[in-house]
Amino acid sequence: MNILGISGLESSAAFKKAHWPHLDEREYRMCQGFDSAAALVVDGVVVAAAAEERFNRKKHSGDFPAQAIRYCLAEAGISLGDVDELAHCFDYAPYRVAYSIDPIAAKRYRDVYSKDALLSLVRRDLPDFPLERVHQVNHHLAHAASAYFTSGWDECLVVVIDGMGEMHGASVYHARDGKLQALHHISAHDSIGIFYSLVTLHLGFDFNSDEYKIMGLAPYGEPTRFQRFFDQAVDLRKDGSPHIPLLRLNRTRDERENFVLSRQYLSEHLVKERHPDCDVTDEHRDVAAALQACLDKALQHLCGHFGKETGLRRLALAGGVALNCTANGKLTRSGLFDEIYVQPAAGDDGAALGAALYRASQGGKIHNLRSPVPFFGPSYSSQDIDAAVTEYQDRVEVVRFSSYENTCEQAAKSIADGKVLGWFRGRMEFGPRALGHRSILADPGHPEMRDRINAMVKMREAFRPFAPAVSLEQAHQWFDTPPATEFPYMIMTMDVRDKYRAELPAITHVNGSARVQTVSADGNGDFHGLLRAVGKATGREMVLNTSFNIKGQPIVNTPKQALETFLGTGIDELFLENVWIRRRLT
Amino acid sequence: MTLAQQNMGCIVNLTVGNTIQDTVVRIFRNKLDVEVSSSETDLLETGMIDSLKFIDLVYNLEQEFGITMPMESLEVDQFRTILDIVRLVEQCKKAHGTGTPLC
Repeated sequence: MNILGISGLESSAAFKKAHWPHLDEREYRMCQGFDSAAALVVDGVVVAAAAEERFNRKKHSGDFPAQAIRYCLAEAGISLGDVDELAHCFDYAPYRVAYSIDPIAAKRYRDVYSKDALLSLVRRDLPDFPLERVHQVNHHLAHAASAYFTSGWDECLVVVIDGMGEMHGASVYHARDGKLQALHHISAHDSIGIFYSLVTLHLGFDFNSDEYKIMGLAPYGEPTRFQRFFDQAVDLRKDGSPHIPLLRLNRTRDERENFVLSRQYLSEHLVKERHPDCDVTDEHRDVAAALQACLDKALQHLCGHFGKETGLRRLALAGGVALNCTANGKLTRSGLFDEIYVQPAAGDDGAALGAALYRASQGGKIHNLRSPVPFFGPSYSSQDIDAAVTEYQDRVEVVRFSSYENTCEQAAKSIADGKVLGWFRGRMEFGPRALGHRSILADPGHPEMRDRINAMVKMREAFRPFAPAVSLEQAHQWFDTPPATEFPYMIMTMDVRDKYRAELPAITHVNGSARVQTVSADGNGDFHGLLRAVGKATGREMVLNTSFNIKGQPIVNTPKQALETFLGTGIDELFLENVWIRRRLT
Repeated sequence: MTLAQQNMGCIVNLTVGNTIQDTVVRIFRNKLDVEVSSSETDLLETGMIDSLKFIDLVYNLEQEFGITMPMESLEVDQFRTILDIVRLVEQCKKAHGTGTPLC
């Protein structure tokens, strides 16, 4: 069986713009359906997955993932007619009545959420696809499936936390024997994800996009200053649920759509709204710290409650809030569970994968395998690379290494020399993290490296740290983690060992933490080989690993995009597979 | 003003006891943070219920009265006023008792 899963709601942002035309541009992100993606599951095995933004180059695009679909089919060597099912990760049909409460909601249901709206996009972009093969999967169920069916576990607790699905902000499942049994749903009115996003917006950042920046800001602040506000704002109930009354303050349709009174409440009782152009002050840092502490507590409360109720000691997480690696790290160290698995594409891109896996599970057995790294996207041949290099041949010097060992030796030397490298090889990662196939790499011990990369490439806020990739063998030496414990997805934080914090300034956050990626020879062999070579050159089998993109750009997909990004920034050298590229000196 | 006080928009004119109506009013107050001024207030026109509150309401009615209210069988007008909701609950309780297809 060939099952294609998709995510995204193309008309959602346009609907909001049409019906609320006078909003600030940042407020248009307060809607459903960004991060569209396609994923293909063939006979229970994940064969391909990619986000549409990597093809259409629109960050967080919610467009119907036609290009990602085309890629998935090409990767599997099948045609559209061979696809048995197309599964979308939203199913609003059970809530049709709820959405007919008022005329705007009813119109939104018809134009954006309904199956008919989906089918019109299928007809437009996949004109020959039999519409009876189109199915819809409840959003949280899709997230849950994305976690359970890639966990490698037969039985576990699954917790989904995001902004909201059709109606809910969080859902809990008992996964067992290939089935997901819903235990609990939390209304979107009590969504800790929406709350975190609202405060993110209030602090002058982007809703449903910049939450990780607030997470990065938090360690600079003092959490006690605003703790009382957050303790009152988020009441943690006996049934495990958060209760967040300020999300219910909005009365009219317009107020509800844009959380007008909720944000007014934040202005009156927490801190004045910060305009993006204004400085981030201690007050904002303290709010971020208290907000993060609030999320940490709420996540432990919810997961801990159901862990205790079910007796399950394995937890799988998905949903956009599961990208909060600070909360994940604290949950890991809480002792509430023996093992925690976070599906690396935890946001809505991953829900496409979940939709496919769920429908596949209904039709037969899933190969429930933990993927060591989610390299599910496209790779490019030496011909593709040669064609891209030829296009820029007057601007670059090229050396082609005959072996990967030679490539690693040169890359390690460049890193040891303080160079910043673009590193492009193999299949593209699925999910927001670059894990060694579409990365920018540098020496984490170089004192100015963070500021350099920020200035030359990322133009990011200065408070945001970069993250390390380290060999599995050496991870426990540099970081406070047990030996041979794998964290391959860069989705958890842990502490840098005290004695090394000064030595690793580029990847050590102000509170001594780092968002670590462990790299094993079995799981991520090429990257491991590079780290071994770097270890010989620098004494540390570790690199600073950040995604290969500039600010506002999706991660690079093709060799040409990698070259363009390299040439348009201050990145020193580029490796496209075994091709070493430097700027031609004029 | 506390959040709870801000959430209560209207003066309560409905007495609260143990009838179905009383229980529905209590659900509105305690579970949905909505105070309804009369049993004939148009809950939809006044925007007192939105999609999310609708779902919460259905869930709480099911829990409180031990009935099942499948979404696909419901109509918006059954929730227009407190009286409409009471009527719906009565129908569902009857259907639940007889084992016949639900409301």
